[in-house]
Amino acid sequence: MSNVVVLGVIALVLAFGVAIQIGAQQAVYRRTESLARIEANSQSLVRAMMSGQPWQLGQGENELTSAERSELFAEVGAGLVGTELERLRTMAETYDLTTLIDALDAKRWWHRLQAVSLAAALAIDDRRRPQLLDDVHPSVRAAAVAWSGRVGLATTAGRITDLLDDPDGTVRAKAFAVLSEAPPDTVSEDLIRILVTPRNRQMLLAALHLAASNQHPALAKQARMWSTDDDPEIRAAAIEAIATEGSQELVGLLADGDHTVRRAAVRGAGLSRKSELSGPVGCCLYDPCWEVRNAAVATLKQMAAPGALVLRVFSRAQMMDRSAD
Amino acid sequence: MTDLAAWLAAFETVSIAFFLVVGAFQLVLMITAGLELRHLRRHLVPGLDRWVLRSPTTPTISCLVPAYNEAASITETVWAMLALDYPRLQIVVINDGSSDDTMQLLIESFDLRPTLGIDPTPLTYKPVVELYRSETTPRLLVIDKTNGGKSDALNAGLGYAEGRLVCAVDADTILEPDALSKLSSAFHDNPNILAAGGSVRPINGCAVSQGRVIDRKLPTSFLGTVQAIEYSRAFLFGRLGWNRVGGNILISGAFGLFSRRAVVDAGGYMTSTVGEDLELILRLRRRAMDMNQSDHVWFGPEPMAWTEVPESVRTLARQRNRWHRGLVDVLWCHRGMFGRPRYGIVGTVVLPFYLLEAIAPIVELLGMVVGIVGLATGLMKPSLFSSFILAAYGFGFLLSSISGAYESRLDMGQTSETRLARRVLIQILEQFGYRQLTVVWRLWGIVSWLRGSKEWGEQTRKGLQANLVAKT
Repeated sequence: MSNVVVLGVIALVLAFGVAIQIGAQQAVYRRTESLARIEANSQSLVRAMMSGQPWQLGQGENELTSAERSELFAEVGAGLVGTELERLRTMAETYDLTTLIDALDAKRWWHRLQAVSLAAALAIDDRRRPQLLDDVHPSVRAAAVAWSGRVGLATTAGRITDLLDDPDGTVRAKAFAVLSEAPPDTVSEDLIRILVTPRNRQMLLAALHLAASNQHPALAKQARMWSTDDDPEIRAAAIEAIATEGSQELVGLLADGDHTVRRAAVRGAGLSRKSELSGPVGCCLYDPCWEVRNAAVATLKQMAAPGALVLRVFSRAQMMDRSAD
Repeated sequence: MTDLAAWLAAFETVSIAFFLVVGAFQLVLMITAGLELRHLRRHLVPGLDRWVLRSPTTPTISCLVPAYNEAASITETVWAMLALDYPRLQIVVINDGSSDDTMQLLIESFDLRPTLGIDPTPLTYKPVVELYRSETTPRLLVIDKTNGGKSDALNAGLGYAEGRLVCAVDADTILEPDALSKLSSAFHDNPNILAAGGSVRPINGCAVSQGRVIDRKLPTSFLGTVQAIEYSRAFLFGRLGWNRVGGNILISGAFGLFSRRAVVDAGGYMTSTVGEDLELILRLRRRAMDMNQSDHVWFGPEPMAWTEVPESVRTLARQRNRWHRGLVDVLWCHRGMFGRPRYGIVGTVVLPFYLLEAIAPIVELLGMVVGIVGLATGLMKPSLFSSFILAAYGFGFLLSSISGAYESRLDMGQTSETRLARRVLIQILEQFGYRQLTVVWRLWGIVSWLRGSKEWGEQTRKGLQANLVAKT
């Protein structure tokens, strides 16, 4: 009797194992067919857009569901600008696809995500965009940040700056990426707000890094007050932000007691692009900390001829030492 | 006879307890892997990565490719690396004193010229003979050094790499074009992460063109297919499941992304073990926990790499011996972490689980011997023995089926009935014969470790030429 039970259980396990694999395969079939339909439409859409000819949505076996239409336009439009984007938008309007953007209020997060992605791809702005930056789902928030980057940060720069403190890493990374690409004047006011009264260390560090890439004089001025902070990481970030200003100040910091600060000073010397710093930076190739030496190598490479000369002499000596070992 | 019966009964109890504990672990991993997969699928936003990749904070990645006698595949591997879809990429090939044409092929294929370079790190390794830069592809750096083993070569690569992140890739491995951008997103989400790893699949049987896998297929041989099933079980169960609870301690040596600072500060790769990938992650996590820093290690099933798996019994046996020897060696090296709450889930749960894995071949072999003796002497009921065996093998089949289903959903592969039928058939067959062979190979690994063996053993490879389809 027990043997029968065991065999029965084993048969059930086998059947279950096979069933879930078949189920997964069926799902793959459906998705593969959907992708094939999107691909077929995508090719004709791209051809029509390039030639300026009218475009016809796929019929019969290439007919798309509304979700697939949304996916198609989101995919094709993602990197487009100028005339091609205009053409794509016209085609989307011809087929009433812009109505799919109404799903920005949808209850399901993936419908909202689809709508945001489509709006971003077509670079169509909507009054609901600021609300979507506060969406409960991180993927929707991240997509809304990218959308804002596409249509301009005029009204949402402040909110996106606040997202530097978002609990989700992807949202933070997207906010940082969008802010670093934005014109300096658009975001400087909000970054100054953070530099004056930072909500926390993470946000302050992000703002200092943005100040370093932004190179706005007003930001450098605010960043300077953090260059004497007790936290070496904050000090280091502040040094990079003020790098373009004083080269003498950087030379002094190359001998700082903390290696994080020395490393930042070396990087700052690279950002300042002042070739007279190649000598002091060259001395950092003998720094006891490998990360400072590493930063010195990278900085000297940026310093064109004077840096290359220092590197050449040093690398020849090191190769000879290592061969001797 | 009474003594033998008592011994048999005692061992039976131990075996059942062992099976139940391992089964419980695997059941929990199955559930956590499912939860993790659900979480990852909910967070996938295709097409948005370009925003992150364009960001000025996107780190440079240096791909370290140690090559020892890899003439069969090195050119194809480097071309595949150069075709990766990542904006800031450096390829560092380390020729570890190959005795074949590896170096000559590299020089000719990429127009290499001697150059000068600086290693700012304190890492030590066997002497570098020459550094080369490519005239045609400036992103390629080749280090020609005297032979010192894979870890020694990786240390040299770490020294001369320029990236903030380093990706260790085997010379017979091909990365999916978007593998690095997907894997590096983990470092965007959490800049303090120590390492991230992706899935590895067997390339045998797949069609390769211009450094890309263009048709995903199961290997044609039994051994190749059975390894494909094993790989999907290992990556989509073990690693995905441990990910959910923060217990990942293994990033495959064939494809992993590391913070260069963390690895260099920890002293680089250990050259005295053959389980250098497992050892490095454990050391990184241990060091971070000792210093009260973030010890996060992430695994993502989507970033994918393809590698050649051995299809001869001899080579596979040597590989499994080395893997198991490496596991035992690393567990022994880090025995100080066992059961200590200061090492969190790694010390209290993950390492004890790996210890069970390490001793599993001993228990399995003894179980088989005791079962046979018990049946022969009539001291064990045949129904009990067969129930036990069937339960163990049924559970194994179930795990393979679920990981097969996960795999299909993830990479859209396995799209024909024939392939599915073949896979299911081999999932059943692997339990009879192959599984017992792996027990023997792993036992051999334990014996080799006890004898102090540090050998890698000769690896015979066909090379990717076998997978190439007509180039356009």
